[in-house]
Amino acid sequence: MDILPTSFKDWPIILEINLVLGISFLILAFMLLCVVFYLRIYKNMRNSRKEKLEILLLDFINNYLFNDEFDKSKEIMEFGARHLKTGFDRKIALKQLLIFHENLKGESSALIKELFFGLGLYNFLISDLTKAAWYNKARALFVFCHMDVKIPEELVEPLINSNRNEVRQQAILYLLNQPADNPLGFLDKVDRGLTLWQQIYMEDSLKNYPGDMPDFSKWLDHKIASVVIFCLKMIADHNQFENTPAMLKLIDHPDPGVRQQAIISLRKMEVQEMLPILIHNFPRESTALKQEILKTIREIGSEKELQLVAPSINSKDRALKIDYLRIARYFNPKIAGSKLKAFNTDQLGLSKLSL
Amino acid sequence: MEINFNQIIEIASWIFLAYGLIICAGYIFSAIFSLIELRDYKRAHNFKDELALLQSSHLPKISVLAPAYNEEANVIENVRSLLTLDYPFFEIVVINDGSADGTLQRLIANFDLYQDEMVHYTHIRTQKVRGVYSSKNTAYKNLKVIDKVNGGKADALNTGINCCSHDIICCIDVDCILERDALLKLIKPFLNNTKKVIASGGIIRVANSCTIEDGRIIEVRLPDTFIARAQILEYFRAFLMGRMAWSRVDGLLLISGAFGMFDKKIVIEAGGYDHNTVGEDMELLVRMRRMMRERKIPYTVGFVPDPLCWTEVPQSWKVLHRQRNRWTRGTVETLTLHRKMLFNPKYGVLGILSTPYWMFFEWFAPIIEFFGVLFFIFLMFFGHVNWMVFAIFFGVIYSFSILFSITALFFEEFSFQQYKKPRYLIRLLGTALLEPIIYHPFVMWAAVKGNIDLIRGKKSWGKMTRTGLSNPTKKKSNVDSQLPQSKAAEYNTKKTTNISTQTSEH
Repeated sequence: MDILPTSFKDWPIILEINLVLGISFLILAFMLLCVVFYLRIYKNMRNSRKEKLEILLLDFINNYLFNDEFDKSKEIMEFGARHLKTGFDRKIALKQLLIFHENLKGESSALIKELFFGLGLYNFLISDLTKAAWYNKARALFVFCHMDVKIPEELVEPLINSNRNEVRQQAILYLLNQPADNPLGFLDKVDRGLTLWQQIYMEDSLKNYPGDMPDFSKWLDHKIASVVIFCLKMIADHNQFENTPAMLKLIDHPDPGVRQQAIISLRKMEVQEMLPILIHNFPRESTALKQEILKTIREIGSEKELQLVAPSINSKDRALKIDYLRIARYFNPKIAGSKLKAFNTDQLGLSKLSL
Repeated sequence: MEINFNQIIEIASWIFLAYGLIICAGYIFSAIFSLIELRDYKRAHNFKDELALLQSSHLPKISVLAPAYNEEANVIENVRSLLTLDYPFFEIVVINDGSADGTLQRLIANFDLYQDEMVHYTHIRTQKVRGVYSSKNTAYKNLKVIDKVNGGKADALNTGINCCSHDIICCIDVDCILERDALLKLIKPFLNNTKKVIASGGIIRVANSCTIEDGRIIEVRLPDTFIARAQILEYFRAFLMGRMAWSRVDGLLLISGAFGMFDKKIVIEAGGYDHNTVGEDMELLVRMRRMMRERKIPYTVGFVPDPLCWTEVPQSWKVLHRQRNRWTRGTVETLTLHRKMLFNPKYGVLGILSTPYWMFFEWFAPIIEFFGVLFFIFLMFFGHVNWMVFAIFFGVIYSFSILFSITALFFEEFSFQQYKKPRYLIRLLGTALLEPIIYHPFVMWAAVKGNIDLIRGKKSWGKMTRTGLSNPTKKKSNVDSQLPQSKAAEYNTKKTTNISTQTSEH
């Protein structure tokens, strides 16, 4: 018995659907396969174009920089018109110029900038910056920052609070790298938290800042905790000891992250004045902060301070007890190895640990 | 109302069709989300400037946890390779899980280790730790070796969590090949996020046949065996399409045990790896996410699509069967343990999308497919098969399978294009054409068998063997052609890359 008719005309709908789907999938698969091959060919061609253009650019830039007989104004016009026709070509040119700019200084570096303007790349990037696509904006800012090219601030400032992390980061780095008395002035306008990533890049940019390091304490009362945390890190990194009184106040900050960073930075600066405050605060702090305090006592305190916090360690908090024991042993190496071993081997041996 | 035999058959046909259409729709959405995510990732990481990261003193410190069991043959080379990773602050914690061979002795001798009488934490209950070793040689100051009583990989990792020093942990298989910048890339989601990041995972790539030099992949080559090539397509589908799409909607339920980074504090609060499931990598992440959701703490899980970790996939049908059997059991165990999350809007995307997806399309798909096959055999037995109908049904499934594999190939071409030679592309296409007929039914059966074994109470890992990735320091070594079987590989395959079978269910 045939459950379904074999005549095409009488096919039930389920078969028709399946047939249509099957054919559609095959057509789609074939089309996608063509796209795969096209992508492969396109990428190969693009790479080949890239290699050729890079060679041309190398030759052109070297001549521009070092060949006295090179007719700069004429050649620059010709090169731009002949070789930099598409956005892709300009991106390759930008990469090459960035490499040269990074490796050259003084007059040569100024010539690279001259090339940057001469090849129309400034206008190209400014138009990117005004476009809606976030990745174009981020790239434009990245290049302006690394080429030390000044652009109207009104184009950059709104971007420090952009929805995209990448744009925010590039805007921050651009502003930070501008020759100004107050490289961190933009922090006053920041209304979004700084990610750790942004903080690291800011820290890196500040390392190369040619002027006097800004006074980071200006932002210790910033409304955003991550800005305060960043400034605390920088104060310690740049040894701004004059800011320790302001930092000490932050040990009582309502945000636990700020409190923790304040302890870490003060510890790094070996500010012993914080020890009495830490010992006072110890009972009401979280385990993470208690561990930070114990670490601080180990690094800048003494056995006496350690004993002061001992009564506040909960007998059930094994991690804290271990930290305590480690520090006790650091101060007093006579604590027998056998005792530590017994503690290690006994999974629940809290009772055996006498503080 | 009487329903005759033909009507039953028609209803069944409609059910199978509806199920198939839902799966197709799921895959199409996954492809779209994944494409958007990959495009954005490429755009966001256009600026290669990692020097600032490497120079920063504020980068989070990482503890790399590498469990080792009977790794005597390769452990020294593997650890040396790990020690050369590009990252400013990290420690390597090798956990010798009661090896019966000379793994520990070789480590002690080669790295000048001494037993450190430090007190270690016991955040998570584990088997007894026999000793913690550090090196006298300052060149290896970031190496720590823990010797413990054998307790399995989950237990070894938990011991590592207890004994490591840093707040971010990276759990790896000791015999996996990591790219030099693997840590730098995997840490990025932790750095570049306004939400709390509890874990981040990376793509696992197939190392079979690749050329390896000094523990690094020098040349990516396509494996000679069909079974390994089929798994390459599967990994493309699972990672480049599946995981990327889930990452887009923040619904990732699995980070491969072979290479994943976690916030140690959250792992400890969640209770660490579960010893009682064979899919503990998935179970841990689900438990962590569930805990965060229940505590109402905003969080996310990161995913990095760059090829960072290379592993060897099974080259024999027998080993593949065991692996897929175990993965199925792991999936079912995890879904059963966390059944409260299913269809529960309280868990957001996880409750509404991820867990139901895993249940219907990971757990049930092979079972439904198996019953479909049985149904076909039943019809054939009673002479009810209209071969034209069969051809059409088969055609639609086959064409979709091919479409899906070619989509995965497209994603590889679009993103990282690791298989550069044109002939590799042709061979992968050939594999895509054969895979639904040869490879897929086998994997389906392995999954069904996994369900049967679970019902029968099977809890073991099953013996896993690998051809081996060879001595990673050996110059110009071709993975396929080397190596005696390594017991260590058995241990590592126990937990490694649960890639999820999601993309193999056509």
